Amino acid sequence: MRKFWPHSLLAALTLATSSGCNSTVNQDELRPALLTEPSQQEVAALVAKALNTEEVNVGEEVFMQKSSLVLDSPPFTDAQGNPLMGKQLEMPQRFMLLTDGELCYLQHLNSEQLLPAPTLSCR
Amino acid sequence: MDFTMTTQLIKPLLISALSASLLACGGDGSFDGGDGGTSSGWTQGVFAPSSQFKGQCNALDEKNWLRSWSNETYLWYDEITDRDPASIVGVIDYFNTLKTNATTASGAAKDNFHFSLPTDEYQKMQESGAVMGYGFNFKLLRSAPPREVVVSYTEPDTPASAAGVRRGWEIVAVNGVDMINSNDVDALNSALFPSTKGVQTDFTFKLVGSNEERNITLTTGEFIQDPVMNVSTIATNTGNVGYVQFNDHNAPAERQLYDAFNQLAGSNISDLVIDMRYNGGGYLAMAAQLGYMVAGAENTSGLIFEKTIFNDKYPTTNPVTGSPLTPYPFIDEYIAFDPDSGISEGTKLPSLNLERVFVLSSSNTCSASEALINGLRGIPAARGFEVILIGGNTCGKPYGFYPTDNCDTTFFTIQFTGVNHAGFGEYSDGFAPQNTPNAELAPVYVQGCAVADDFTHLLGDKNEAMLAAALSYRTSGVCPAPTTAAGLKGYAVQSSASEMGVSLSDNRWQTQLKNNRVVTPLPKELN
Repeated sequence: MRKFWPHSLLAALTLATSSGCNSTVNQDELRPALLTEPSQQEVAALVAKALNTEEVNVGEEVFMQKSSLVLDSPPFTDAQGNPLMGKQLEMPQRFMLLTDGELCYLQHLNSEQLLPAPTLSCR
Repeated sequence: MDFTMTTQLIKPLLISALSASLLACGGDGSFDGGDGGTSSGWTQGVFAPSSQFKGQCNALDEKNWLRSWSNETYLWYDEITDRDPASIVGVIDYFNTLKTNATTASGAAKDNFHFSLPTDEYQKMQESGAVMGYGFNFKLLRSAPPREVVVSYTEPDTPASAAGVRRGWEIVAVNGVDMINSNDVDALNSALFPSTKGVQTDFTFKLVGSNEERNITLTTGEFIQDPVMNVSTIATNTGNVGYVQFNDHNAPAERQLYDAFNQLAGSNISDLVIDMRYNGGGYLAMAAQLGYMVAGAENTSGLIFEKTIFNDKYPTTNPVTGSPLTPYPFIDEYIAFDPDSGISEGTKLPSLNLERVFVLSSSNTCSASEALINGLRGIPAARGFEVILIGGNTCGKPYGFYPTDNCDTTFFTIQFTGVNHAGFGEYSDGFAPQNTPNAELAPVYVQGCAVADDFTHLLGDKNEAMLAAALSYRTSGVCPAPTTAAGLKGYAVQSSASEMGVSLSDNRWQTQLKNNRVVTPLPKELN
């Protein structure tokens, strides 16, 4: 699978560890990953943490077929049935599942934050 | 456009709306000098920075925040009547006053888009394009008795498509409850707008063009909708005509549009019909990509697709992100809304290099879809590009928001609009084909034909009324007589509020829209 970002970006990634400390990730070891088994709830919890929100909804097949996850706000509509957010200037919330061959990581592309994902099993 | 330019354009978009905060406080920089938390601190026309009140979760400071925030970022801040925050008790009630009362040329309210939501609901994000349902979309042609609810199209690989449900079928009962006349709105809404997967619902459909009914049990599921459908080529005596049904400017659509236009580019297309009758918008950058893919480099090079305009306090800076305002060009590169779609960011987009495009429209053609129409209409006449509109009056929403949180409520107030290369952006009554017989609105009339949605034919069928009119007008320049849905199938298009009894609505997403709640439900069309 291809990499979708320049090395310069990976070099700048910050790893938010469970201890709250930051360290630099070895960029050469990270590659896009898939889950070895469906992990809907675990992914939802990690993503919610990354977004500093209480709850997100992800599908059962999240990260099973592709390494990306793109999130939008719920499809609230106006009285005419048209989307509230019909003209959006900002990018959606985008995540990539990565692995260094041993551990899984969740990368939030919008913030360039890299979260360890010890509850996930990657391939 | 080179890669650097794309990066410059998109970079500001990377800033999360959820975490957006005001980086600059507008106004005249004056400060009321008081604590702003009491009525005695209010001085008409004098505004403290909203940051002073942000997160101060008592009613008066919440209203003070709304007042200052609106003065800083509302597009028509100078049309707000400044009221003492202490004079109105409810926070939301006060928010509801913080908008213009002006009307459009038709007499319609200038601002129809003023909302608030509980923040925890707005932040409950989901996968782009995901829906809970049966796999069919529908329109509430008449939401109160005698109701008319008709399938608009089905999604592939869903329970509905597997069961053979098709466009034009009318839903006459759900779980034995009469869809047309029953007052059991809760039962009808819960069936039409499910929020739980695995729920079985017994539907009774009336088939197209007959009184035959069919009972089908469908089970709810969660699936990703196809934003791009029915990509095809129609052979005519005057060349091939491409057709694409485009339903949503969302992340999955980018790859599907890329594939669709590559397919059409290889099909010797001389004209294109983009069916956006059910496209309520989405990412503006995707509309700019689509504009390029339709018109090509020769028609669009050096042009602005849309210039975003905030209020006059911020002529050069986005007041929410703090970024410089950079006009959207016609974007000729893949953005990679989905970073693992299989196409790399920066990949050159295909283009059909057409001299005109036919857009199929309805009242659900909204926002970014209208921006596409407006962006293409902004191409200078010397380049000779035409937009031809076939269908109905579009929704009229050139505006946008940055939803902003304070004290567990997310507020939507109009903060920006947009203009095309010619500087035009006033279409708050929508765009309408030139022969539209409509005295109620004052739309921007566009070359084309008024045609009602034809539920007797599948979308993409060359005999479907809108597509047929496009094909006919393409060669003759003559429109068929304006039609209504009633004329095509016996469905009323809409009914007036005075006719309303007990209306249906999508309670999953609408009942929390506090400023959008109406005592007498208004008719609406849903997909």
